[in-house]
Amino acid sequence: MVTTLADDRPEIELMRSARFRKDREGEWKRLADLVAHVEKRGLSGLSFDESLELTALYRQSVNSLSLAREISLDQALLHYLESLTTRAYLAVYAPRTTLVGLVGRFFKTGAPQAIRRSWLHILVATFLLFGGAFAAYFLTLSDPTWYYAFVPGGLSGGRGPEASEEFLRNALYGDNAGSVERLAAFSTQLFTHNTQVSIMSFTLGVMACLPSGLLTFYNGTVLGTFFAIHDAKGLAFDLFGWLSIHGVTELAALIIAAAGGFRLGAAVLFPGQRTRGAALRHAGRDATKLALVAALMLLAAGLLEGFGRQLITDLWSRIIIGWSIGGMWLAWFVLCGRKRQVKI
Amino acid sequence: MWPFRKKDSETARRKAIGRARKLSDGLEKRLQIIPPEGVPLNIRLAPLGQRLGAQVVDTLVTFIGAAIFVALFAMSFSTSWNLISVVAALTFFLIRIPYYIISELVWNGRTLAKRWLGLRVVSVDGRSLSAHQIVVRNIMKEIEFFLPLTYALAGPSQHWSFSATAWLWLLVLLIVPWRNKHNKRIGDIIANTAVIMDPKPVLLNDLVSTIAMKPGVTTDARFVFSSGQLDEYGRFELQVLEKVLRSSAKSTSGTWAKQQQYLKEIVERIVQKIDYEEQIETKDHRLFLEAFYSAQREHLERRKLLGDAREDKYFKEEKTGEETS
Repeated sequence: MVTTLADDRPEIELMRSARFRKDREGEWKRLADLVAHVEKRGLSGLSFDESLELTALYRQSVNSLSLAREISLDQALLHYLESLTTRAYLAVYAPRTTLVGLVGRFFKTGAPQAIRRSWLHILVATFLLFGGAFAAYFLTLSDPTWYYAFVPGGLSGGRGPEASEEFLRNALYGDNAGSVERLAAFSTQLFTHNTQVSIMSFTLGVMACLPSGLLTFYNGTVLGTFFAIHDAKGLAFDLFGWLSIHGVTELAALIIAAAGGFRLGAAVLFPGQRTRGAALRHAGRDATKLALVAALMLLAAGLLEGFGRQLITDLWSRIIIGWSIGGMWLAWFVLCGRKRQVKI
Repeated sequence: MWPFRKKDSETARRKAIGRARKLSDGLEKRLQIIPPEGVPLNIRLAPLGQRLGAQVVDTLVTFIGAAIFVALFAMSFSTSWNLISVVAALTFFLIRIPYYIISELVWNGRTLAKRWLGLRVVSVDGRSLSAHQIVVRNIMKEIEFFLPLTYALAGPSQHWSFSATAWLWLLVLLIVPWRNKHNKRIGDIIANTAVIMDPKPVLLNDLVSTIAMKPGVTTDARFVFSSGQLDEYGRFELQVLEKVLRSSAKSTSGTWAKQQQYLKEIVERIVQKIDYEEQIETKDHRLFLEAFYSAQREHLERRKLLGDAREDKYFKEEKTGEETS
């Protein structure tokens, strides 16, 4: 309204900063309109010309702001320009990815590439898990009371060294959870247990890998000692089948989560040329993908466990289903997201 | 003698800087972002209370979403409470995690509650917020906040040391953003993001042009100030005067007398400081201040262009301090 008044009156000599504002006010207001439009409708709500105009006006407002800081002492104007430029900056530099694109990229390239880059950490986690398993297996074979040192009370469900072969066989093949309720509850309980173990071994990796390593090793010992007591009754292969259907996926998830933790821990221990914070952020890019893959696999394992294990009781079909699903995971990790070789 | 003088100018400088900062920052934490264009932007960070509020509202939103789903499930299948509670826990879990990621991705760093409260997640490095950053900060929220919370509230079914650790964990998590320079929680630190208040651009009138339009100010040259008289004040005082003029311009009739008294005091202080000889009538107080503001601003802006930026009225002492030291 000031400017309209000015048009009616004879031209008054204004000071430099006031002239500056008068000359550019129109552009700023147009930019404010465009930004408001984008925030309501999104960038796709603009026409081609309008989006060109938006970026051009944004750059002009950045220019105005930097100039105003030099020539103007009008605080209201400085605040306005700063707010306007910030809003425009946020509108212009908005995230470019769409949801579908993001999910697609994760499955096609992001996740398998991150897994392949972390091969060493996965290998270490695998050795730790199976190292723990072998140690506990031989310890428990030589002295069955080791079992109680490794297995927490809640997990075994009465399957200890003193359990009879009959009982163990029943637990492996028995139709003990007939109702849907028990199935679902059981699955959720185990699902959350393993999720927590994975989250722990992932996050604790930051503390120089040590807690993650111990946790992975310990999980291995539970596995090993379980095998030992079944082996003593001649049921090792049956346990293998019982575990295969979901365990292949689930143990792989544990290993991958631990490997993610190792990536973080390795960044803290050996930051290289970066600062520790920067190294952690860099490793975090892959580690997050590993964590997401692990979460996805745990979800799949939970489903397999809830429905597959109780419904499919034949030994060989358990093994085939479990390991073919494992093979599918492996194929995804190894084959997906490879760059095409360019021949020269 | 000079150590005393130096100390004096030093305290004066500190005082002035403290005041200036109070004025320009309003006692709020700010974040400086440098966009690719290279001009730094100073943005107000979101206060912790607002962020906690947004978190509570978002938790409610996801909880209600899960509750509707579970209610539909219970109505259509009508099974036992046991199963329903399992489904409820799973649904809440499976709705919660994607909700934050998807909403912050689609609405450029804003969940529903952040939209309502005017908050926004930004990337500190001055580039656009990447999907990776959004995923990281929200997965860390799961580990930072929801996991210990479930342990803390799990009750007597577990060993007491578990809940004690969980409460300690939560306490540490509250301390981290409180002590952090940019109110970042751990997820923000890892993802290199910060939560800001969405700035609202409001364009106020240009005081100088408004004053120039008034008859009898510049045209008559009623109040004239010599350059010596304009050498007393700096940027800080000018902007305080700007605030006074803006707030008194829109004051209502109820506070009219109070405003007049206020203006009178300011006029007296200025007249005394700059040795203005003429007597100023009460009805002209505002006119005088406006004229002084215009003249002072023009003078200071010109000095600044010539490389002589004056931060506040202590600028002379600062200069002598620099010379002696």
